[in-house]
Amino acid sequence: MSYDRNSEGRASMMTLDTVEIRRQAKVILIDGGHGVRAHLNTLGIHVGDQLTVVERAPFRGPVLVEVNGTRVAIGRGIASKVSVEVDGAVTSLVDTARANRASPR
Amino acid sequence: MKFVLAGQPNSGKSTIFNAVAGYRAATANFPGSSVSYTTSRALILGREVEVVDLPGVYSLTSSDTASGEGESYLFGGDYDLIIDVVDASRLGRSLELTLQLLELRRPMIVALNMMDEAERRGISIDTAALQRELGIPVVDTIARRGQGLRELFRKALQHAHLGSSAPVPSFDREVEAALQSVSSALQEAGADSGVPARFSAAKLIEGDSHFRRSVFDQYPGLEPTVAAAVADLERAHGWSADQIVSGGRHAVAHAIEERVSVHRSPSLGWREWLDRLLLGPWTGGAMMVAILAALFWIVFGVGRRIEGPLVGVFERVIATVVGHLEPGSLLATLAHGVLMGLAGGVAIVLPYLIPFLLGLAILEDTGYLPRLAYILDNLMHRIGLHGKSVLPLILGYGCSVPAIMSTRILESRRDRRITGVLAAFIPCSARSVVIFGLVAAYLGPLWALSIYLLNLGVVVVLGSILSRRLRGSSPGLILEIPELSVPHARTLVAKTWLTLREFITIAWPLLVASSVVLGLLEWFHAHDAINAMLSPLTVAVLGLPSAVGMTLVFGVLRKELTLVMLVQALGTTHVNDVMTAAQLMTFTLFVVFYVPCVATVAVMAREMGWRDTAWVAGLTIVMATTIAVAGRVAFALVT
Repeated sequence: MSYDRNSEGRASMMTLDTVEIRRQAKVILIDGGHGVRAHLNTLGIHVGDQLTVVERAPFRGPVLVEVNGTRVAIGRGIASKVSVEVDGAVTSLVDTARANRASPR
Repeated sequence: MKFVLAGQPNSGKSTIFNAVAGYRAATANFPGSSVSYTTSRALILGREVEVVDLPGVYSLTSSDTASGEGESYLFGGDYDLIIDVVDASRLGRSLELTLQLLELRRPMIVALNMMDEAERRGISIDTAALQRELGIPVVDTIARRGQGLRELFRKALQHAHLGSSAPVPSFDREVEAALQSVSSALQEAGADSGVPARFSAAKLIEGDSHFRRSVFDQYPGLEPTVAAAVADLERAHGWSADQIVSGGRHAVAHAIEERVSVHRSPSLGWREWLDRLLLGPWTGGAMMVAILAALFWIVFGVGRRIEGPLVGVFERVIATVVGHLEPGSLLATLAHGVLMGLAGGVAIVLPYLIPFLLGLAILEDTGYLPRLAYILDNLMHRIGLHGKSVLPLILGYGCSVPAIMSTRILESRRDRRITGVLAAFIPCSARSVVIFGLVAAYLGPLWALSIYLLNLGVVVVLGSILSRRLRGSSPGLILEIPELSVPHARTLVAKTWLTLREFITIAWPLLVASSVVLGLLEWFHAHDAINAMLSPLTVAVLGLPSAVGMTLVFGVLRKELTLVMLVQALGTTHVNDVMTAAQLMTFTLFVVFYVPCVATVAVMAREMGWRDTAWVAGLTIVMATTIAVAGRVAFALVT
C-alpha cells in the first residue's frame, strides 16, 4: 500500500489531530480531564479502542473519526489531547482501491 | 400506567412517542433534538397509558455540574416501566446505557430500534439471544415505519403488570468489592436518594460531581469511605476510578454485542459518497453555500408566486365587505381592520412561512445540521465558541424559543450564555417573513440576501466581543455525526404542521385581537398619541412614516404582527405605494434586530435569568436603531 513508505517504524505514538486520513489508530491515553474523557467514553471512545480517521477539516478544523460503527466529530483542541498508536494499517471504509487512489494530505 | 421512553440521543425515542401520541414531540436527525420531556396519554390495546418522552442521555453519569432533566426523571420519577430505546446500529454503545438503566431496578423492556439501519450497515442481531443476555424482553422495531410498535407496547403492558426487574450484570472482583463497601456504607448512613444503593455507589465512585455534592452535603461521613474505595480500586488497576467503572461497563456491553450480533461488510453506497462531498475538505464549504442558497431561492420563488394571487383575492373580498358597510362607522373600521389583519396573516405570511418551515425540516431530518457543526467548527472557534453552537443558531432561523432551549446541548455555561444571546439575534421565521414579504418582494431578493449576510456579520462581531468579555472555558467540539437519511414526507408534513398549528392557534387569534385593538385605537384616534410618542424614534431617527410606531409595539407580541399591522396601519396591501424603498429597508432592519418577541424573552429569562435578558433586550434596541440608521444612510448612498 502506498501509505507504508510514509510511516516510520512499526508503531508510532502520536496525537489524534496529526493522524492521516483513513489511517487506523488505537487510543492509548485520553488527556484533558474527567469531563472530556467521560464525554468521549459515552460516545464509544475508550482507551484501547481502534478508531479510523475518516476526514480532516482544513485550517486546523475538527477531525472526523469512525469508532465502533459511529462517526464522531472531534475538535482539534480535544483531538490533540488524545494520544494514539498508529501501526501503519489502512482501513478501507468503502472500497479499498478507490480509497488508496485518493491523495493523502 | 406510565411508561418512560429512555435511551441515547438520536435513537428514535421521539419517533416512537409520536407514533403512539400523534406528532407532538419534535424529531430531527441530530443528537439532542429533544431538550425537555413531553408527556402524552395514549390508548394502547384498549388501555389508557401515559407515555413520557425523555431527552436522550448518553450515560447516567454526568460530568456536568447540573444533572439533566432526563436523568432526574429516571431517578425520582413515578412511573411503571422504562422502555429503553436502543439504536441497533450502535448496539455496543447503547448497551452501556442499558446496563446502567438495569441498575435502577425498575421494570424495563428494550426496543431494539433502527433495525433497518443496522441491516444496511451489515449488522444482524439475534433478538432472542439479546433477550437471554439481558434477562428482559427485547422487541425489534423500525419506528420510522411504525414496525414492531404494536408488539412493543403489548410487551410493555404485559411486563409492567409483572413488575419484575432483571438481574444486574456484575463487574470484575475489585469493582464489585468497591461497590459493595460503598453501598453498605450508604445503607448504614440511611442515605436514600430514591435509587438503589448499588447504583448510587457506582455514581459516587465514578466521580459524578453533581451526585457527589448532593450526597456528601447531606452525609459528610461518607466522603472518606468513598475516597478509600476509590483509592483501593485505583491501586489495584492503576487507572482512574471513573475509567475503571466505565471501562468495565464498556467491556460487558461489547461482550454482549459480540455474542448476539454478526457484522458483515456494510453497503453504505450513496450515503458514503454524499458524505465525502458534504464533509470533504475542499467541497464541504461550497456544498454548504449551495445548499443554503438553494433554500433561500426556493422559499422566495415559491412564496412570491403564491403571495401575489392570494393578496389579490383578499383585496377583492375586503373591497366588497367594506363597501357594504357605512363608511366611517365603527363597524366598518373594525371589519376593515380584522380583514386586513387576516389578509396579512394568510396572504403575506403563509406563502413564505410554509416553504421556509419545510426547508428547515428537510435540513433537520436529513442529518445535515451536525455536518454543518463540523464544517463551521473552525469558524466558530474564531468567535470563541465551537461547532456545536451552530445547532442552536440554525434552529434560530426557525424560532428563537426552541433555539434558546437547545443551547442546553452545550457543555459549558459560558457557551450556553453566548449562544443563547446570539440565537436571539438570528432572524426567526417570523422575521424572515418580514424580510421576504417587504424587502424581497418589493426591493428584490438580493437586498433580502444582504440583510441575512449583514445579520450574520453582526452575530459574528457580537459573538467575538461576548466571548472575549465572558470568562470560562469552551471545551471544544465532540459531536456524533449521524448517518444521512432520506426524510419521510409524512414526518416533514407533520413537523411543519406542528409549527404552523401554533401559528394558527396562537398567532391568528392574537392577530385578530390586535387588529381589533388597532381598529378601536384608530376609531378613538388614540393611535395618533402612541405614534406621536414613538415618533422621535420612528420619524426623526429612522425616517419612517409615523403610522409604523404602533406596528412596532405590536411586534413585541409576535414579529409577524409588524408586517400584518403595517398593512393595516397603512391601509393597503401595496406597502410600496406608501413607503419608499429606503423606508422599507430601514423598517425591516429595525424589525430584524429589535427586542425579540415575548415568548423569546420569557424563555431567555428561564434559561439565562432576568439580568441577562434585560441586558439583551436593551442591547437589541440600541443595535436595531444603530443598524437601521446605518442601513438608511448606506441605502441612500448606494441607490
